[in-house]
Amino acid sequence: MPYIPGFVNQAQLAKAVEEAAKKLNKGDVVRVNHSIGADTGGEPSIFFRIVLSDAASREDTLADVTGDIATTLFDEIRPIENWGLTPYFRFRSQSEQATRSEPEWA
Amino acid sequence: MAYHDDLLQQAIDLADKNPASPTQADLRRSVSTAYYALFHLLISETIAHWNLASSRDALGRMFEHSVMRKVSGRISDSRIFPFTGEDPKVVQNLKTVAQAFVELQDNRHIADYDNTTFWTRTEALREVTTAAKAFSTWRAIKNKKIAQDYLVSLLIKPRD
Repeated sequence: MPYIPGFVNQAQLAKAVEEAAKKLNKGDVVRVNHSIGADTGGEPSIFFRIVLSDAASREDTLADVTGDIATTLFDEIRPIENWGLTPYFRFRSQSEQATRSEPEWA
Repeated sequence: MAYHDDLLQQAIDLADKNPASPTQADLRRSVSTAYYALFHLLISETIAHWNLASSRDALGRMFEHSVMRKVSGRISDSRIFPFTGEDPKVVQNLKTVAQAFVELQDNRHIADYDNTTFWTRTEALREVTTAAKAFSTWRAIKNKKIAQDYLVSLLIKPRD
């Protein structure tokens, strides 16, 4: 994937995210959304919003589950090298998301 | 306990304060405190090498959040830092710490200043556990050369 600074083919990126998401544990992950934009330092970034199953959101396993998901997405998509984007990951449980209506998480 | 350890514990306590119905204030302070815990850990680890103990706190004031973030972001870019010949496990652990710093700092800004962002408890816990993992990962690699090089680089403004 040739990376051209300042240009992101969003369709290709969406495809890359979709392919990477297939490698995640389906019992843990309900949904993976993403968007691109600037982080608080102004750097081009990709923001992953991941809804976890309630079982995967347990406090005692949250670090391992979210760490594995972030590592898989990071390694598969290579957002820095392939896309020039700094990755950020946010996680919610399914029951938490059910009480919210932010479209970027839906 | 050291200040950074106290901060990490405080971040945990804030996220755990009212699990059934946490306030945004507690969750946002938890996220912010998790960042500052890692920030102060890395500074503490760096200035500990300064022989004159009475000068260490002054040296600690030389660190800049933006420089530390920029350096940490570059660590994960294999085009800039291929780490050829280094132990891949140590490299991965260093990247874990550096990436945690970048993520935590960005979310610290959001938690402290962005009133439009709602935080769930899982989101806050993720930040706290990311900081806790960075602490334990750092302790496993702190004596490795690339980890010590990283500490020094946190004080040096990268040339673009």
